Amino acid sequence: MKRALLKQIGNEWRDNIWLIIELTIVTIVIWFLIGTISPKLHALFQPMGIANDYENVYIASINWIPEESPEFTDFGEDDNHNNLQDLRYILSQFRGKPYVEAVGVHKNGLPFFFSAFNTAYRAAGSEDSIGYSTNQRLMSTGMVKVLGLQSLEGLSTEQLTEILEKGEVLISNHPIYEYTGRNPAELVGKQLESLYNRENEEPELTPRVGALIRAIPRSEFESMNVGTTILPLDENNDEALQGAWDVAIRVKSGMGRMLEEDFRNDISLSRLRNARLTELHTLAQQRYMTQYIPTVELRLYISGICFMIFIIFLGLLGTFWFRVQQRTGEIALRKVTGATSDDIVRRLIGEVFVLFAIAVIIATVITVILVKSSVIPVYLEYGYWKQSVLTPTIGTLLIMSIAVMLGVWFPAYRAMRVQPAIALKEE
Amino acid sequence: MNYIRQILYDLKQQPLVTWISLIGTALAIFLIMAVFMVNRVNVVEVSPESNRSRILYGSYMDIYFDNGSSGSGGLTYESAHEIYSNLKGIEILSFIETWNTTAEINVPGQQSIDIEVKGVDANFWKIYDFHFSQGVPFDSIAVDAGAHYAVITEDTAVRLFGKGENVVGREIQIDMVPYIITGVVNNANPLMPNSYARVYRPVKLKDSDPGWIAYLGELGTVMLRHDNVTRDDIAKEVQARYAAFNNRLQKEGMQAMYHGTPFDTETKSLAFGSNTTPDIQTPRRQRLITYILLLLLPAINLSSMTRSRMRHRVAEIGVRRAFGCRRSRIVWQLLCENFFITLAGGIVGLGLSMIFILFISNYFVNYTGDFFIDNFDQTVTTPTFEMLFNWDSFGFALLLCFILNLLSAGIPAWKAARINPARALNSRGK
Amino acid sequence: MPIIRLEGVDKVYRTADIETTALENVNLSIDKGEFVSIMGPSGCGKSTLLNIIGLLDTPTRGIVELTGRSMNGLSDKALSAFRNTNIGFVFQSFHLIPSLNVIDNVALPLGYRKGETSGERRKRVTEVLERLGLGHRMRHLPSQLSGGQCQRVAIARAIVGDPALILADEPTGNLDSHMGGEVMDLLHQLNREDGRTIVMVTHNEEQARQTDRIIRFFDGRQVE
Repeated sequence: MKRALLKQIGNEWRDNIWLIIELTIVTIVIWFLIGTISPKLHALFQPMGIANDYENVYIASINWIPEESPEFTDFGEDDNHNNLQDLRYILSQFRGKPYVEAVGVHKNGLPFFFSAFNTAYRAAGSEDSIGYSTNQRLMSTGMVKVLGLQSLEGLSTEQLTEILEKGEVLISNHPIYEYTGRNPAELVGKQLESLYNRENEEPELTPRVGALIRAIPRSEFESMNVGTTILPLDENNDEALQGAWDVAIRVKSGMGRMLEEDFRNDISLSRLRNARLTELHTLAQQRYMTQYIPTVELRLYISGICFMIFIIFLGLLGTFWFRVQQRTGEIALRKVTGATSDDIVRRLIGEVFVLFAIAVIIATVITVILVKSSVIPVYLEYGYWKQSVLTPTIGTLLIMSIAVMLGVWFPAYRAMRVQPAIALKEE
Repeated sequence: MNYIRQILYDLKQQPLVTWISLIGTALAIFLIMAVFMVNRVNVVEVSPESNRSRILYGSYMDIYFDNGSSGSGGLTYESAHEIYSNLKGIEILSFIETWNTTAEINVPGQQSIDIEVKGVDANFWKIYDFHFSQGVPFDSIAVDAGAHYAVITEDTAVRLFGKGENVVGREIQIDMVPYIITGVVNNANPLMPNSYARVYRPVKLKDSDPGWIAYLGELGTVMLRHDNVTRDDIAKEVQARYAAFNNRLQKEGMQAMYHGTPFDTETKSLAFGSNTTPDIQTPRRQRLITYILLLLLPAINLSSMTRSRMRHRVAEIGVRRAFGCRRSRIVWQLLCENFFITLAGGIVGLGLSMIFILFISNYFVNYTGDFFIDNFDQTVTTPTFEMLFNWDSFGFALLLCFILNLLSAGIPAWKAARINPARALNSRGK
Repeated sequence: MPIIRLEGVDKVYRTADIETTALENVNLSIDKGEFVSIMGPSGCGKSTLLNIIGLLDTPTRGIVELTGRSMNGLSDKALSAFRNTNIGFVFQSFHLIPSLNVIDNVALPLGYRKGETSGERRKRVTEVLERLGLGHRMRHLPSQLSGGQCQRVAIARAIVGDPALILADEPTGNLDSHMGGEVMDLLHQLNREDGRTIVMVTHNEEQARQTDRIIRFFDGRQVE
């Protein structure tokens, strides 16, 4: 049976060579397509480190009326302090609204923005400590509740808020701890120093680490290879508040409309003398905007994969439809001599899968050559083999198997319905 | 006429195979044309960038310090002037802000909207062919004086003042600072990020803000080259300017990196970041591979379809051979017949690609040429019909049909013509 | 001078395992204006002989001369041109092109020669069709015709190029005796009135007897 199958494949080698070429090219292309989106797909399944009701979180930019504006209020030398006092007043106005749950200010504290303050830290004065890179995010205490930061040690929002209020730092886990088998908890209670400190300079130390939280990546598509360090931003300190970028507001679930209406109608929520809040929008809108391009790219790649599947489907459908047509007599004869429809279908599918197996072997060789010669870059470094090799390989085999089954289905169905008596008479 | 009759006959005799051939062809042409047209967005010459073939950009500065640190960004007036002013091959030089800023615009006493603002000088209006539906651009005197004038786009005028208003001379506030409108343009295109903004105001030249490194600022230059010089000629001149510039910078412990400026529009669209030399070869190679794959894979499929269609006509080929038809003529006839199928599929594919580009491509394509966006308007932008409808696209589509036809019908036709006529006549068929 | 002369013609078919001799040492001479029938059991090589005479197949060995010219070693182009002007074919299964109507089917050979306007061609096609009593069927597709009409169209196609030689391979094999008789009458008419040489393969002893000469084949050899 098996030998007969191989012999038949050999007899139709002209047709089969084209099919094998097609299957090979498509296998390679799908492998690289999945390889390209694989890190994004992996990242998509990782938690964002904050509560996911993004539509309940509002952002408004902090702005100041410039001196050249006729509406500028001149406080003289006390400009800065007075302006910041005005901003504090606006914040307190929000805090007084019944539908507002929490208000905070931040500097690089929100996800879905592309800015990053990357630093590499290790425990101060400890040679044994692992250095790791991290994105610094500065948050006032209200931000813990606004974003819904997630503790790795089971602490409540209130407890995390308290820790930040004490002036302590929150740090996230980092992939390097996973790879080295160590626990980031060893950093709790210690101060951190930057690895970028110059040799003869006094190292600048962060406050003590107070607790562990989930990392907050910049977007859902960013793989978590950078940790998060949350530094306190004291709203009551002029210098700190002046650095703040936005106000972030959490409203009670579903009450965003009221905030939007108040913001539109009540000038005291958006302006006091020189202090202004502008561009009120939700974190959900921010997410849509920031992730628009990677989402579009993901769609493009997925449509590319779909197209490849369709090509395979059409190719197999066309070739095998024709082949079944050519073999009607043979199939009829087999049926007459006792083969069931299942046997016929099994034989056809077996034939396709032998071709597919040959294509996979050739594709593997070509892919390895392409990767080794770095014609197409693949990130095979430490820790990335899952995204770069495993997922594409499993994904490709799975997708191709489905495409192959689909393509051979109709011809097989046609073969099953061959009526021996009629077919033989026609012959 | 007989070709069309043959297609109709095939459709009746072998509906599955013929339909799959048509669909496969349409799909292949659709995809390639979509890729082609999306890419054309960076090359096509329509207003306000009708002079694209002559427009060049010098937008960035990348500086290294002796201690190993570095910084990059736009230029200052000083560095821009030193490198790009009075180049021999340049007809017009314009200074503009390299990046648009998002600002709050409002009519005094009304709600503000957030839109993109660009600072430009008077020459900007000479390099790009904007259509003014109202008023005029601001001139160089206004730019030098730092006048608070603004040119706004038609849609912005409608959003701020309502439809049909004459807005020239009216006041708007940009980030709370008053400006007077001098003109309204109606053809700014978000797919042309170099010329695009919704509000244009005079760029601040002399007191433009130097960044944290002297020579790094927010300015960039746009140039219109003379017809008789090439970009490469000008690049040589600019490179020499860099050398002179670096002679001076050396004393301050700095070096400016030359990244191949000035860029043409296509190169500029590939310049990710201000500190890299854009790689135009890689995307071209990728595009070529895409074209080849999109042609080759369908061609393999179509070839098997064509063969099975032709196998039904073996007897006919035998008859034709018997009555004195030469092999080459058989090949030619089969290719011609098949070309009509390819053409039919191609027309459908071209139509589909236009519909796709005009209506849904922003779902799959990032037209912004950016890694991230901060403006909702950009997410709904697709090319205009004007950018798609031109003869190159048709020519390219026709060429594709031709190649696809050769690839998919060439081998089957050649083989069919070589069948021994005696044997061909023995095969079944009426 | 004979219009067809074969000398020592062999035809051997080879596949991977088997070698089949279809014709062995055939010597044949047919004069201009003769009506010759070839008879023999199935598989005796008579169709192969017809194909070789019609230049559709080449002999393994031996000389083929048509109208006094040697046909051995001619190019595809030369053979095609020769077939086009000198030979007309009539097949058992008609072999009309199903997607073309009667006019276009008959005009087929004229399409492969130069120097005639389409008007002239059309005129000739019409004349031939009228002569064969098909004037009212010119726009029909083959699928709309009876078997006898199909074969008459096929004969029209064979003579439209005015060839001196007509090769007919069991022209009545797919027809009932009445229609077969009509076709035979037509062939005789073409032989008598136009002086065309006709070589016909047939199984029908009675039809064969009406022709000038019968050549019998058995197992690849000429026996009579």
